[in-house]
Amino acid sequence: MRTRLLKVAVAGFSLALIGVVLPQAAANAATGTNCSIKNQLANSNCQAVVMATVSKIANLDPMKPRAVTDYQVAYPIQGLLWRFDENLIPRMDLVAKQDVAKDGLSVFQVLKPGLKYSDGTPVLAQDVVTAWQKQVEARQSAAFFAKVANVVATSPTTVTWTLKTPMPDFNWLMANQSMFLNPTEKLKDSTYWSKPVSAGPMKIQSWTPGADQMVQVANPNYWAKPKVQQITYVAIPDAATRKLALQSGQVDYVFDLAYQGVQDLDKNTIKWWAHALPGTYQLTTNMTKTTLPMYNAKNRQAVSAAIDRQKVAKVAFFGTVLPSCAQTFIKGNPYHQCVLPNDGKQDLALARKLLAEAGNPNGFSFDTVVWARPGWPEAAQIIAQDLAQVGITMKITVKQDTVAIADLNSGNYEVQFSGNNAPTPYLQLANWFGPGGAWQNWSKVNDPALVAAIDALGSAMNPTTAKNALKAANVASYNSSVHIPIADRAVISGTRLPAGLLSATIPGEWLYVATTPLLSTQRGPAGFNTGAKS
Amino acid sequence: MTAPTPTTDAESALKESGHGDGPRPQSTGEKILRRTGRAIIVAFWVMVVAFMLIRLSPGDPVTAALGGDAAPETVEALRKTLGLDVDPLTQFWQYFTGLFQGDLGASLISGIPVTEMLRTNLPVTLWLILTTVVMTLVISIPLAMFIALARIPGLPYVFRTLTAIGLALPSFLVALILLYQFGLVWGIAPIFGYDPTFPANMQYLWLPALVNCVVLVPVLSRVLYSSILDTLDEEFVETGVIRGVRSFRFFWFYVLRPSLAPTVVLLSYMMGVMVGSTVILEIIFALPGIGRELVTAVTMRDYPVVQGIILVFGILVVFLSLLGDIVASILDPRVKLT
Repeated sequence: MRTRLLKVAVAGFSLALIGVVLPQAAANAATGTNCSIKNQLANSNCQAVVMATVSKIANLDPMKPRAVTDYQVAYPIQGLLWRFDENLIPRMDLVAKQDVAKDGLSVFQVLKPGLKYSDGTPVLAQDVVTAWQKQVEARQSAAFFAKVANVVATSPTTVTWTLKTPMPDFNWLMANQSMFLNPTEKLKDSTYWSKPVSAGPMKIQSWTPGADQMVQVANPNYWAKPKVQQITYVAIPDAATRKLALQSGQVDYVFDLAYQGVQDLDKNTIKWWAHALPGTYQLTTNMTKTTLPMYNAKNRQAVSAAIDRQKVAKVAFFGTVLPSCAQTFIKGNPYHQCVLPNDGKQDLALARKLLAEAGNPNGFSFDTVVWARPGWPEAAQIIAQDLAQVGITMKITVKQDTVAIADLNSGNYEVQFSGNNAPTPYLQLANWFGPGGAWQNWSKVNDPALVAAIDALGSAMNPTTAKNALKAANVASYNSSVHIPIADRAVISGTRLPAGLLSATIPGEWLYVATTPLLSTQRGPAGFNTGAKS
Repeated sequence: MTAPTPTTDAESALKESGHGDGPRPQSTGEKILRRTGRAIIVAFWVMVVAFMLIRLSPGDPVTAALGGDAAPETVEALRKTLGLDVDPLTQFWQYFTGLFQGDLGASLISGIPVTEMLRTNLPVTLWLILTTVVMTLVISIPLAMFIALARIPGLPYVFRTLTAIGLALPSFLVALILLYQFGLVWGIAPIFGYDPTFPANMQYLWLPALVNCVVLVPVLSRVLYSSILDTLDEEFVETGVIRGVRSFRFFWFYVLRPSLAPTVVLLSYMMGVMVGSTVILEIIFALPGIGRELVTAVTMRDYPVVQGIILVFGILVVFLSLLGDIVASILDPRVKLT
C-alpha cells in the first residue's frame, strides 16, 4: 500500500513538472500592440512591461538610507515640481508658472490647478514646504539646499522660495529626487512609506517592503498620461541572469548589463546602449580614520597620480566612459576644464614624490570596498595593479550596493570605490563636500575653503564666472582628494521596447517614463546652470 | 576495584533477545522519543549560540551598526531595540520568552519583523530543498541500482568518472549553463522569479533543483551503489534468490531497502547543508529565499535577522538529522537508534 502511494506521489510530482511547468515557461513579458524596438514611441501601445532592477526595493522613505533601485523606482511615483525629461533637461511638471525676482533672490511658483495625489488628496503648496523641511532637518540632502533661506506657502497653490544668493541651478534642484512631494498630513503616519501615494505619472499597485517585486500602474490623477499602463519591477541581482532574462523576453528593460557579452544580444529584438550619467566614479576616503595613511592628503594625491585612468576607462568600462581629469563629470559640461596634474594621466614619478613627502616612500596599504556593479570590481583591480607599482597595496572587498551603502552610513569602511551623480557640477560638488551632502556625511570631509569655492560656483550667473568658479572648485577638490575622481560614469541598459518609453538615464539612475504630452514639450523659463545640458 | 563479571555468550544472547534479567530493551517508539528529547536539548543550545552571536561579535554591535559618530540617543534607542540595555540574564530570559511568543525581533534595516521574513522567505528555500531531494532520489536510486545490477563491464568506471566530474563542477557555473540552455535556448524554464503557490512554484524550482542534483546525485548514487554491492554479498540476498522471490519484492525488500539506510542518513545531512548553501542559486535564479536574506543580513550587520535565521537553520538541521536517523532505522532494522 505504502509503495503504491509512493508511486502515485512520484507520478503526480512528475506530471506537475511536465503539465504545469513547461508550457508556462518562456512567455513574453510586454503586452500591448506595436510594443517592440521596431516601433516608434508615437505608434506604440504598451500596456504592461517588466523591468529588471539590480536589487530588491527595500525602502521608499527618503529620510532613510536607500539604494539605487529604491531611488530608481521611486522617481515615477513621486510628485515633483520639475521633472527631468528624456534628455536630462528639467521641465515644469506640477508647476504651471515660475517667476524669478530681478535680484534672483526670490522664486515664485504657481502649482497646476486641481492637482491631486493618487488617492484624491489635493497637492498643496504646504507639501512643498514640508518636502524642503524634511530634507534640511534630516540632513539627507541638506547641501543641495544650502542656498535656500526659506520656503513659504503663500496660498494653497503658490510657493515663494527665498534664496541666500541667486542660484542658476534652481530648476535642476527642483527636478532632483530630494524634492519629492507627499501629503503633509499623511507623512505623520509611521506606516505611510509602505504604500505612499503618488503625484507622479505612476502609482504603486502592489508592493511589500523588502519583496522582490513591485507593480506600478498609471496614475489617473496625474496631469499627463503615461505611455505605459503598468510596470512590473523584478529584482535580479545577478548581471548574467538579467541579460538572459532580457534575451528570453521575460523582461523588457534591463538596467546595468555587464559590458562583456552585450554584443551577443539580438539586434532585431533588443537595443542596448551605454548611457553616460552626469557623474563620476571615485575612490572615497573615510576621514574619521585619522590614524590610517589615507587620512594624509599627500598619500591620497599619490594614489590619484598613480592611477591609469585611461586604462580603467578602456579595459573595465570598454571605452564607454571618459577618464577624469577633474572632479566633476565631463560629458555634457560646456565649462569643463582639466585640473588634475598631468591632465589626470598616470604619473608614477609624481606619485613616488608625493609618497616621499608624506613619509611613506615605500608605499602603504588600505582596504577598499567595491560595489558589485558591472565593471566596478574590474576597475578596482586595475587601480590596485597601478598602485602596486609605487608600493601601495589596495585590498579589495566586493559588496552588493545595498550593503556598501550600509557601510557608508555606519562608517564601517576605509575607502570605497563607487560613484556620485548629480544634475549639475555645483550639485555634484555640494553633494560630495557641502555640509549635509550625502557624500560629505559618509566621508566626513570638512574643508571650509573648498565649501567656499563650491558656494561661489553655485552663485555664478554667467558662463564666464561659472567656468572660472568651476575650475577653482575643482582645484580645491584636488587639493582635498577625499574623493579621488576616476572616470565619468556610464551604465549599459538593454530594452525590447520602443525607444524612449522607459529609460534609467537621468542623473541618479532614476527612471524616466514617457507621457502624453511628452515632458520635453513643457518648456519653462530659459535655463542657465553651472555646467550641464540645458 | 572490582573486576567486571564475565558473561557467557548464552547470557549475552539472552539479554540481547530480551529474555534475560538485564534492562528491558527500548521499543522503537521509546527510542524515537529519546532521540527527539536529545534533539530538543541540542536545539536549546542552538538557541543559546544564536543568542550569543550578538554578544560575542567583536566590538559593540550597536556602534558597528550605526557607526562611531552616531548620536548617543540613537545608540541608546538601538540598544533598547536589540534588548542590550539590561543584564545578560534578563536579556536571555526576554529572548527565550520572546521565542515562545513568536517574537524574533525586527530587521534593523527594513524594520520588517524577522518572523515575517521567515514566513515569506523560508518556504521558498524549503520548497527548493524538497524539490531537490525528490529529484535526487528519483534520479539516484534507479541509476545506482542499474550500475550495481547491470554488471556491464567498464560501466562502474564510467559512472565513477562522470560522478567525479559532477562533484567537481562549481554550482554557479552549472546554474548559468543550465539557465542558458533550458531557459534561453530551449525556452522551457523561466529565467527568474517565483510563485509562492503549489504547483505553480515548481516551474521556478525545478531548474535550480536540477543544479543541486548535479552535486547531490553523484554523492548519493555512489554511496547507494557501494551499499547495494555490500548488500548483494549478504547471505539473506542469496537466500532470497534461492527461494525464488518475485522480482520487484526481491529488489525492494532484499536489495534496495537494506541499502538505503546510509543514503538516507547522508541525505538528511546534505539537506541540512543545503539550507545554507542554496544562497548562490537563490541569487542566480532571483529566488526570494531565506539564504539570500541571511547573507545580506550578515554583510549589513542586521543582527536580529542573523540571529533569527541562524536559530531556525540550526533547529532545521537538528530535526532533519533526527528524521534521517529515524527513517534509516525503519528502512533497515540493522540500523539502531541510539
